[in-house]
Amino acid sequence: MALPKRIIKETERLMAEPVPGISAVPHGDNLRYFDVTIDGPESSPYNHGRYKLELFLPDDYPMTPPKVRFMTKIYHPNIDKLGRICLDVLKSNWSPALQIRTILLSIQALLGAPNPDDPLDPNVAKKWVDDPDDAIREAKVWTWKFGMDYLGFEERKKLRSDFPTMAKGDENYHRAKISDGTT
Amino acid sequence: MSSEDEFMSGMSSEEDDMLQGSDNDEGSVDDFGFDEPEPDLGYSQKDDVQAKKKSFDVNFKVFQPKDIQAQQDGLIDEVNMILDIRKEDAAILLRHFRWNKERLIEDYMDRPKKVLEAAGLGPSATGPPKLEIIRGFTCDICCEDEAGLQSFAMKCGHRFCVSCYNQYLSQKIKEEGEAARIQCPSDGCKRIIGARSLDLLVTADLRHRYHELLTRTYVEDKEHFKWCPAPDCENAIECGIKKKDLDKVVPTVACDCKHRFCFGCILADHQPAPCTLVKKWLKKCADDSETANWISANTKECPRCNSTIEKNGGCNHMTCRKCKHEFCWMCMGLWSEHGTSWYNCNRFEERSGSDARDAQAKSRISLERYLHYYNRYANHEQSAKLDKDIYNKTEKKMIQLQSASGMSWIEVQYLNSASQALQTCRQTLKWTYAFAFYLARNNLTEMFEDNQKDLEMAVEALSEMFEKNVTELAEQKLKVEIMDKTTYCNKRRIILLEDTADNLANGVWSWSTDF
Ligand SMILES: [Zn+2]
Ligand SMILES: [Zn+2]
Ligand SMILES: [Zn+2]
Ligand SMILES: [Zn+2]
Ligand SMILES: [Zn+2]
Ligand SMILES: [Zn+2]
Repeated sequence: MALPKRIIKETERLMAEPVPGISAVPHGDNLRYFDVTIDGPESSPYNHGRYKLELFLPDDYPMTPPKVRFMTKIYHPNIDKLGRICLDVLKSNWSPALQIRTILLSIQALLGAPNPDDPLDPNVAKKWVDDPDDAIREAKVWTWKFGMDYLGFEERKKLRSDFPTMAKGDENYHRAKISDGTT
Repeated sequence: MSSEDEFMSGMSSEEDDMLQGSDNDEGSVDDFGFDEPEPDLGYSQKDDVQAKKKSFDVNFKVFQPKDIQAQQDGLIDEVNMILDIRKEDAAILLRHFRWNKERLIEDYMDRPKKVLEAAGLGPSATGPPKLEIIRGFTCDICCEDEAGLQSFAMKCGHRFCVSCYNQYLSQKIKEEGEAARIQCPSDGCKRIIGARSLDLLVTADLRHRYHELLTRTYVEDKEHFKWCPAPDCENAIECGIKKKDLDKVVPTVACDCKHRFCFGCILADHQPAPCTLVKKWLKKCADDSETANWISANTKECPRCNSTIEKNGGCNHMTCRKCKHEFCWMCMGLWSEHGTSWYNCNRFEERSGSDARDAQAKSRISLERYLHYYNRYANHEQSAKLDKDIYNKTEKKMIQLQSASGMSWIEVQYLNSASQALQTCRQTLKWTYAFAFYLARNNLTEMFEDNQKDLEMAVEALSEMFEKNVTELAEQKLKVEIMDKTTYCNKRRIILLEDTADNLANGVWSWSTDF
C-alpha cells in the first residue's frame, strides 16, 4: 500500500523542522514505524534523561491514534512496566487533526506533569500521592539508572551529584557499574 | 516490524482492559443458559394462586421499537414547539440532557447560550448544512489540496474534506458505536455533528446504523429503561426498580419475546438469588471451573458396578443398564432414599468443628461444601437443557400420536405446559443452590430447605414421567398425572419464591461472610 500523503507530509516536516528535545526517525524498511526519543523536561525528575520510544502508525491512521510505547524504563504514574502510556489524546480524546508531533509533545508534557489521579501503575500512583518527595526521588534514581545511556562516562560523572543517593545495597552495585563505564 | 500486531504484541488487549475501566462488568457473563420460557401455567389457571400478583413479581412494561421511536419523536416535537428551535437541535439538546425534558427546558430558559454551547450547538447561524468547494483549501487530515476537493465544515468553521469526514464518521459509528455525541474532528472542538450534517456525509448503510444507535441512546440514557438482552430482540423494558433496591428485590421481567431476565443485572432470571449474590457466585464458579468441571460432565460411573452411565434426559433418577442399580445423579446416593421423608439430597450436612482442626481440613470441607451446591446448581442447568431436548423429540412424536390416538392439538398441549414448568422450575432450583451456598443458618433456613426439597422432588417426579415413551404418554391416566404434577410444580415454585422474596424484602435473611 502506498504511503498516504498525510504521513509523507508529517514525516517531511518532522525532519525539516524537528521539535526541540524530540526526535522521530522512520525505519527505512517501514515508514510507518518510528524510533523516537524524548528528553525529560528540565523542571522534572526526568531532567537529563533521554527516553527511547517506539511509535507505529496503524493502517487507519489518522482516524485512529498512533501506537506509542516507552522502550526505556521510567518511574511515572501514567506509564507502566511495559512502557504503555495512559494519555487521553492517545485514547478517547484522539482527533484526526492531531499529529505525531503534537502527540510527542503531549507525552513530553506528561513527563513534566504526572497525573496520579488517572493512574496506569497503581503502585507508583499511590506513592506519588502518599509521599511525593519519595516518589520524585525514586523517579530520579530511575532516570540515572536507565535514562542516561546516551551520555559519555565523563559527562555522566559530572551529573552524579544531581541525583539522589541510592537506597542502601543499591549503592555499591551502581558504583561498580558506573566505574566500569556500563549501566 | 511490519505490522501493528507485531508492534503491539502482548499489550493491546490487556491495555484496553486497564484503560477502559470496569463499568462494563455487568452483563458480561453470558447466562443465556437456555431459552427459559415464561412459566406457562396452562392447566392451573383456575387456581387463584395464579390470578393475584405475587410478592416476587415487579411491575414492568414492554416497549416495541416503534413505541420507543414514538416516545422520542413526541419529546422532540414538544421541545421544538416550546423552545422554538429546530427539531434537529431539539434532538441534540435532549440527548445532551439525557432525555430529561424538564431540566432541559428549565436550563434553556435560564441561559440559552450556555446550554447551546455545552451541547455543542455553539453560536447559531442560518442555512442548512452543505458541501462546498473552496479555492486553495488543504485538508488538515489527509493533506489533499487538489482543485475541486469537496469539503464540509460545521458552524465551528473547522473544515475537512468529505472523504476524511466519511472515514472519521465511519470509525466513530462502526468501530466505536458512537452516535449522539460525535464531536467535530478538530482537536478540542466540542461541536457535535447533527443528523442532518451526517446524512450529507455518509453512505446509506452508515446512516442506518447511526439512526439505530441514536435510538439506542434513548433507552440507554433513561434510568428506568433497559434493552431486552435476548439475541435479535429489539424490545425495551421499563421498570421502576432502582439499583439501591436490589438487595431487597430480585426484579425478574418478561419480554414479549418470552425471554425472562433480571432488570437489575440483565442476566437470565435468577430468582430467588439477589443480583450481588449472583455476581459473586458466577465469579466463584468461573474461578473454580477447573475443580468443578468434571461434575457437569454428562457421564458418570455407576456407584455399584462402575460401568459408565450417560445422562440423556433431565431426570436425576438413574438406573444402571447393567446392574439395575437405582441411584440419584446428583448425590450418587440410593434412589430409594429419595422421595421419602428422609430425603436430604438438597441439604449440605455441615460437619462439626472437631472435624476441621487444621487449615487443610477446613479448606477441604469448604471445597466439599462448594461442590455440593455447585453440583446441584450445574445439574439443574444441565437437566433443563436435557428436558428441553426430550420435549423437542417428544413434540414430533406427539404429532404422530395425534393422528394415531385421535387426540387434538389442544389435547396434547399438556406436554408443552409440563416442559415449560420443568424449565422454569429448574431455573429457580438452580439458583436456590447459589442462594443456599451464601445463606447463613438461622431459624428461616429450614423452611427454605423444605421448600427447596418439595420443589425438587416434584420436579424430579414430573421429569421422570416426562421421559416415558409416546405410547405410555397417550394413556389418559398418565396424562392426568402429568397435568396434576405440572400444576403442583408451579405451585411449589410460587411458594418457594414468595417465601424467599418476603424474607428478602424484610431483610431477615443472613448471609455467610464466606462470599
Ligand atoms: Zn481530507
Ligand atoms: Zn469544530
Ligand atoms: Zn425480548
Ligand atoms: Zn440480577
Ligand atoms: Zn451398575
Ligand atoms: Zn440425591
